[in-house]
Formats: sequence, C-alpha cells, structure tokens
Amino acid sequence: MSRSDEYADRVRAWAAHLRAGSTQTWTEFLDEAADASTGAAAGDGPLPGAAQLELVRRLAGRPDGPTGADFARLADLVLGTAGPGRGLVDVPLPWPGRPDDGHIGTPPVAPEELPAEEVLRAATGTLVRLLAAEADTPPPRDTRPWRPWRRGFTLLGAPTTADLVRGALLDRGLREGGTRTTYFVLGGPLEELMAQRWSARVRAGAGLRWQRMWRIAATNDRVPPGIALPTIAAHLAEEFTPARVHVVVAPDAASTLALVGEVLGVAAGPVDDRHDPLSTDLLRRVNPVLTLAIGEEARRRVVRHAWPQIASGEDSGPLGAPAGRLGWAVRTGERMAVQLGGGRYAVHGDPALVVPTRRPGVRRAPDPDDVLAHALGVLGRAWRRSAERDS
Amino acid sequence: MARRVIVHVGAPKTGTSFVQDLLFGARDRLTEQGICYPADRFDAHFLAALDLMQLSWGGLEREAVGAWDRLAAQVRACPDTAIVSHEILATASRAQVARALASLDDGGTEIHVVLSARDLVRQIPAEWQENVKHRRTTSYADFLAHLQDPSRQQGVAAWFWGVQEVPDILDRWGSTLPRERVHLVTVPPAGAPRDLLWQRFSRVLGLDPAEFPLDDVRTNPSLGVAEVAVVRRLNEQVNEVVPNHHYRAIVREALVHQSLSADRRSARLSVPPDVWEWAAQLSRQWVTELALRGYDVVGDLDDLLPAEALPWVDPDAPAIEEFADAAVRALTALTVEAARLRDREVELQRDIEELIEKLDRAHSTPIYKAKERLVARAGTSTVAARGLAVYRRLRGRNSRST
Repeated sequence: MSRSDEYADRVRAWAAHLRAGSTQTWTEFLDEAADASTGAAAGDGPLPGAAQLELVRRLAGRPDGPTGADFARLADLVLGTAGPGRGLVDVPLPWPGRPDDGHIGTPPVAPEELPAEEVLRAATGTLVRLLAAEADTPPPRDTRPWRPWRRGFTLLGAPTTADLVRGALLDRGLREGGTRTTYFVLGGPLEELMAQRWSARVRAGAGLRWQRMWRIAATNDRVPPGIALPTIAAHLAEEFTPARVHVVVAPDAASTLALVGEVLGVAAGPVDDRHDPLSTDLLRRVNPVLTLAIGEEARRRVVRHAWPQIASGEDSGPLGAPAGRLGWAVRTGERMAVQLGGGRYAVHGDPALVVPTRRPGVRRAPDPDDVLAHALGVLGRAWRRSAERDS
Repeated sequence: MARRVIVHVGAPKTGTSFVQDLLFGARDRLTEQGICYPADRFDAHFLAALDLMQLSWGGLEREAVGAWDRLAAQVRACPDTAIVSHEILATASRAQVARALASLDDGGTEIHVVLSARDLVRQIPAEWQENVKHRRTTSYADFLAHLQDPSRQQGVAAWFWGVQEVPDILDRWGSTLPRERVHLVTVPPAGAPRDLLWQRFSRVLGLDPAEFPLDDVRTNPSLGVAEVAVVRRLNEQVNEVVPNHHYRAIVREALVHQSLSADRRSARLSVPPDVWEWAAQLSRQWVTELALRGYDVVGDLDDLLPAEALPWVDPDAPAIEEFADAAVRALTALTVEAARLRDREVELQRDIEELIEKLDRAHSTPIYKAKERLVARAGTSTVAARGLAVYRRLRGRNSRST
C-alpha cells in the first residue's frame, strides 16, 4: 500500500470515527494508532477536507445536538459539502513522513488548529443546504384580526426595536399604517442604532461586515439613511402634520414601548431587547451562497420566516463601535442630539442618549471563534427542523 | 450527447480572455464545425464557475443562480464537441471538480482538461496588478510577503495559489482522467510570435488556427509601475465612497483599460531579485514534477522557467516624476470621462423636458381638466367621491390616474 493510499485510508477511518460521534482530534486519533482497516468510511470520491472533518468533530461535542444515526446523517451532509467561496483549497491533514520541502498544494494543518474562518466556510456550506430546503415551507399566516377602526401607527428608525415594538402593539390590537397613522421615529444610542441597521441590511441580503459599515459611514461622515433620525423626522414633519410625528429616544426596547404606548394611549408590557451580532455575522456569510442556491426572492423568504427561529438563542450582548471609530460616533451623536432638540416634532426621552458613551469590555466586532460557536447551534437547529420536516 | 468535452480551467493571466473572446465571437462558425461553445452572453462561463464554486463577486453572483447546471445541460446536449472555459475554475476544490466533471459527462463522454500556464515570475506582478484593478490596496511588498508565507493564510495567498499552482490545479482537475486527456498549454516567453499561443490553444481545442483571425480579439495590456501605483493610491481614497458598479465603469474601464493601460510610459512590473530566486526555484520544482506526470504538454515545459530578470522598480516607491505624470494622465482621463457623462446628462435632461412638454399638452384638454376637478372634489365631497367611484366602476379599470 502506498503512503498516499495509507493516508487516505486513515483519513476515512477518522471520518468514520467522528461520524460515530467521537470528538477525538486527528492528533489524538493518530497517537492511538487506531486501526485504519476498521470502520473506514466507504467512498471513492474526494477525501473530506480538514475543515469539514473539524466541523463534524465540533458538532459531535454538543450536548444539544443530534445523536446516533441522526448525527451520522448530519456528519455525512457536512463531509459531502464543499466549503463555498474563497479560502484554502482542500487542506490536507498532517501525516507523519510527508515531505514538507517542495510540497505541492495547500500545506497540511491539524484540523483543530485551523482558523475559525475556514471551519465557518464549511459550516456556511452545510447551513445553506439545510436552509435551501426551507424555501418550500409555506410562511406562517398572520392570525391577528384586522381592525381598521383601531388607532394606526407607523414605526421608523431603529429596525430591531421597531420590530419588537410593532409586535407588542399589534398584539394589543393596534393596527399598522392607515391614513391617520401616527409616525414614530425610534432611536437610541448610536452604536445600537448602527448594530440594528447592520442586522437589517444583512437580513435584506447585504454581505456587509460590521467594520466596513462603520468605515463607510465615517469616511462619508454620514450615518446610514435608515437611522438618520433628524432627517427622517424632519421629512415626515414636512410631508405630514408635525403633530403626528414623534421621535422616541430610549435606551432599550421596553422603555421605547412605554413611551410609544403613552402617546397611543395603550398600556405597555414587557419586551426583551434583541442583540444578534453573531447571527448577523453568520448570515452575511450565508447570504451570497444561499442566493446562488435558491435565488434572491427565495432567500428573502427563508431569512424572513425560518432564519429568526433557526438563529435565535444568542446571548452575546451589544456591539460597540470598532476601534478608532468611537470619536466619530460621539461627534455624530452629539450633532444628531442637537438636531433632534431643534426639530418641529415632539421628542420623547432624552435626545442626548444618542451620544455613545465609553463602555469598557463591550465587543468591538464579532469574533470569528464566537460566530463559529454560535453557528454550531444554528446548524443543530436547522438540522432538527429538516429532520422534523422529513419525518 | 456530447462526445468530447474540453474544460479549460485557467490559469488567469495566460491569454484566457483572448481565447474566450475568440470562441464567443466565433460560435456560429464553431457550430458549423460541430463544436459548441454554449454561451448566450460573453460571461456565461464565468457565471457558471461562480455558481459551481459558490463564489460571491461584488453582487454578480445574483445573476449566476443555477448557471452551472444550465451550462452542463447545454454541454450534454451538444452533438459532438463542447468547450467550457473560465480561468477561475482553476481554484475549484476536489469536491467541486468531481461535481463539475460528473455533470458534464453524459455517460461515455470523453472529458479533456486544459490548463494554460505562464512562468511564475510573470504571473506574480500580473496577479497583483489584477488585484489593484479590483479595488485592492495591499502594497506590493505585503502581497509578495503573503505569497511567500507557507501557511497561505494571509491576504489573497490562498486565492493566488489556488489559481496559479500548476501541478496542484492539474492534480485536482486531472487525477481521475487518463493523463493523455490532461493538457498543459504553456505560454511562450516574451517576444514570441503573437499567434504562437493561439496555435497552441488551437491544437488542443481541435481548431485550425488559420480559420480564426486574431485581428478583432481584444488584448489585455498591462499597467506600468507608476500607473499601477496611482490606481492603488486612488483605491485607498475611493473604496468607501464609490460603489462597485461605478468603480467598474469609471476606474477599471475608463481609467485603467481605456487610458492608462493603453498608454504605459513607466517601467514594467517585475519582482525583486530575492523573489525572482525563490520563484525560479519553485518553478524548477514544478517543471520536474510535471515532467514526471506524463500530461500532454502543448508547448515546452521550459516556458514555465523564468527568463532573465527585468530591472527591478519598486511600485511601492515609484519615481516621483513618473508617479506625477501618471497621476496627471489619470486626472485627464477622468476629466474627459466626466465631461462625456455631463454631455450625456444634458442630453437626457433635454429628453425629459421634451417628454414633460408632451405630457403637458396631453393634460391640457378640457376633458382631462374636468376629470382633474372631479378627483380633487372627491377628496372633500362625499357626493363627488361616489360619482368618481361609479365612473371608475363603469370604466372597468382600477386606475387612479383620473
């Protein structure tokens, strides 16, 4: 048997070991000199890459993941899915006796030492295959009764807060839109507005990184249009009666809902904030690949209806301005606060809240290792949904 | 069912655009000879490659949904020989190659893989220049350091080696094929007759080179040291303020292709002496390895060994006079382009004014004015609103125009 055949057999044997639920690393597997002839995965096709193998190993270690034959099927899906996009091509595993000098092809890397970005590529490819199947799931029907006589509201500004407040108001029987609607422009600390805007743009299909969004805003000295609160409020006041325009600046969704409720004359209830930087960073990787798989329209449907459930459960806290951008954020926040104070519309809450404050310890960008850890849970949930659908 | 499929997988900067332009322009003539080049647009195979490798490309991937499967179906439907060609296919992983070859094979199809290759010492500066033309701002020194880093994890190193490491590309694409169906076309050294490369391509594609004149085929001239330095500095300034579609039209097309490339005045890009030594050593290893593999070499493996080093001029620190000259030419080109666009704007403005005049004339009839009064009254009068509703029902259209 040649050295390369021996290598291929050993890789397939490790793949089979992982497929059975092992979390042993390649190095540990080689150290134990496992018998290559037993349990070798069948297959003449290309050998799975280091990133796919490492992804299976990490999925195997999850307490909330599938087990037994169910896990083996998930492992097969991962091992049979090429990593999409740019990155290292077919990373081989380190193999004793392999010559390092003059080696041709991507140099070997112990899978457990691969950069998180490479394992995330493999995760993205697998996730896209699972999400593509969601495109055929009919969207849930809105069962709320239509009550055209109820007071109407329209929410603009902070996208995530608007989603949360909208849900709470609709649950209380109010209606969205209408000819006599009351306009609310929702705001909060600028860093949070930027994080919400980033999340919304990525859900809409952008592949934008958090740092790039700040770089563009700072270079152009302009906050993204969807969260330019003074501009939005001024436009509405100009277009409609200023009395129907309310700017609400609050530190969180619950306080925002309370202030909006006061204006509309409804009691506010509890509503939890939602921070989703890890899901957003994962989705920006998924977006172009999912679009290629099912087209843009189907991607939008999947992201709108299935993604929130699959990607939920994030407990990552807020995102701060990337290093070096806080100064611009403070200056911009101060400018916005002054403009809001001088507008022809009602302002509820303190406009000065828009100005970011120094928050030691807050993360300045999503860390790829954290995104990967989150992606493992997302993959598990997407797999469960797929299994439930097929059963 | 296609009897023979030729898959040309790269590499970039080896005359691939020239081959693709020629094949696309000669589709009808090729069909007469029993050869399909299935493409309804010039970049059809590029979109198919994006789809196969699930690559994003500045939003263009949105046009690539299902493109590979469509191309494969067209190839399978070809009666005799089909050609697929795109240089980014070079970086496909083994799994992607397996999928591609399986989708092109209709059972018994003879698949040939073609890779065109040029010596590494010419490829390195050519790839950096290509990167700069695609908005990158990495200095040449960093680019060279990234390529030499054995981990390949920095900058664009993974991409560079994915599309330029000749023995690995041929191994990924050719390991399941008989060796005589794996063809390596070498790009002749600088100064060789212009049509020699085309003769080599023709041989492997099964064409008579005399039947396909090269007169109308576009060339892709390179930038000089000072010109590329100007574009890189420009990228640093415009990257966050000019969106991709404008960059493509204004910088890449109007500035680089139509102006600076067409009028190169500074030294050609090269590599520093230590990089030349390193690349030459690597090239010798490749040539030794390739000679052992037994592929069909069209040309000469020695073409992949670097020629004598060109004088080294550092594009990270170009001569100030040359840089200034290139910058002024760039400014001139962009001013001319701005003037052209301004003329177009004026022209469009005139068109709009004419259309508004026509619209005003159409709206000045007594009937139209009466309708307008009715619509206006409907906003305040219930009777008028009912009358308008009845009118619209009778008219049978749900238009709110009048």
